[in-house]
Amino acid sequence: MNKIETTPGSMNKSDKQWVVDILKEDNLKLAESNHLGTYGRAQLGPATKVLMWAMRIYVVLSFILIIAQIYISLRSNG
Amino acid sequence: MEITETKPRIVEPGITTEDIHRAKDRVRIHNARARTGPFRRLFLLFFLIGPGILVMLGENDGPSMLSYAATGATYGIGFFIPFIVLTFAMAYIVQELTVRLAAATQRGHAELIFERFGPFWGRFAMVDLAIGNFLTLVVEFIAIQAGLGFFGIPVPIAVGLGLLLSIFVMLSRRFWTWERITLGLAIFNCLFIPVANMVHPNPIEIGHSLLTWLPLPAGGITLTLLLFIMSNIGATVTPWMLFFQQSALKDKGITPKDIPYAKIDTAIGAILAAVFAVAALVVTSVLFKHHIDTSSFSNGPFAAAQFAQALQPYIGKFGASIFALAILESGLVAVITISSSSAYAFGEVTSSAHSLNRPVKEAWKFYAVMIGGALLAGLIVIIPHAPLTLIVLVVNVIATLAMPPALIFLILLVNDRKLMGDYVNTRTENMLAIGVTIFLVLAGMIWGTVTILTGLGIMH
Repeated sequence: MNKIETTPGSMNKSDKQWVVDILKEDNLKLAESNHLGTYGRAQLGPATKVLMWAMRIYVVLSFILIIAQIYISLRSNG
Repeated sequence: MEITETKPRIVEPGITTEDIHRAKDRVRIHNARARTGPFRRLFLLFFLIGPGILVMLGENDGPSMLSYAATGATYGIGFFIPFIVLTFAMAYIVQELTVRLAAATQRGHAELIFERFGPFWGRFAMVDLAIGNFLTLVVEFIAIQAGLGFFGIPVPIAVGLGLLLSIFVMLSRRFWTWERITLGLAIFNCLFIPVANMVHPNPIEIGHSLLTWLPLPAGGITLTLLLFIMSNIGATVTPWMLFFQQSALKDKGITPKDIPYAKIDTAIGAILAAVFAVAALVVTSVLFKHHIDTSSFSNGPFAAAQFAQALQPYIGKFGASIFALAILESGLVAVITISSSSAYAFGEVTSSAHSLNRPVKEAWKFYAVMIGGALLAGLIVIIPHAPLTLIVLVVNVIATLAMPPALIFLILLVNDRKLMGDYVNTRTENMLAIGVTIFLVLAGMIWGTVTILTGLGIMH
């Protein structure tokens, strides 16, 4: 397997086209273009919105539990 | 038709080194697909395996393997052998979702959460993962130094060696190289098998327990049993696995055509990890058989050298050494995989370059998070009087509590037809995934509650 050099400079057209063609064949975008265009925000149904709010409450409770765990451990170690 | 490689020498704007390396990796796969003959599928599998095996064997980290060892020493061969197999079956069900997500969307997990559910949940996922992963890295270095401690290697040297090796792998600057080296390290998780052989287990006894789940743990349902069940579950499915596998598959350039092989990769990983986990349990079952009390052993990763020493009368110095080396390996691979999952998530949420196919100067933030996290975690272990026991306790709580949101987002994403297209979850897949999610969420909540109540003195 030939080693690919990556030193910057000019690249001939056919080599550049080779990279593009290989990735295009697999429907893979160029790394730079991966950040162009997003799926956008999901349209959440009522049940999912309730779930999201339940998760927010869960996150707050989790923080409390973690702090409680740290406090308990520090207390038991004196 | 075979595709012949040309040799692009130079990078032009618009095409990055990441693209070139990925194109080179895809050429291998195209050529494997173009092959004829009986070994065509094997060649294809060889090039497509990686993230699935790495995520499963990466989860067989130091604390997990010691958790299995503690289980074997406390309960011997019986109920927990099929239970461990069941937990890895659940892990497969969960991880398979990330395979389809990665292939269908060409996005990492944190990136998708950020895009579809907004910056709050995207950043929460990243920060939550980063904190949990960082504390886990500390625990892995504890396991590494405990494993090498069996050989009398001082803590700073043990941690230094672990850091050197893991950073060397992280700096391979080529996803393929990084993947293959880490796979080579991960396969040493199999060291638990020859050690298990040294205790001369009865295969009929193991087979019987696999089929019948017997004998059940003595003493009925106790708090100790509950804690062992929870720790075994926690040793199998954790949040970083979801983020890691999806991001690694995206970095590898997996496409929908590759999904069947990526699923096989994940299944192979689950099977190997289950076998090695059971082997770790079988090793210490000899302690159970000889009524050796291990309840006084140190908590979690600290116990590596203690288990090795306790096993020495039964498997000799050589066997005990292999056991300690296996713990070292499990910690090392976890450092590599967990560090990369944090770096991927950071890069995805901050829209900065995040690929193992990029040189350091192009993706310095990615490498800074990956290597910096490991360095800092290692340094904490070296610091005298660092609160390592507290970190071990807290990391288990965090990993348990972080699991439900991670799983819920995963379920929501794989049911999102706009993302998944034809690869959206079927009804059967949803039943399995939601069933596993409910089980893991309930198990985690019970464990967290029991831990807190025990700490408060309300439960004993």
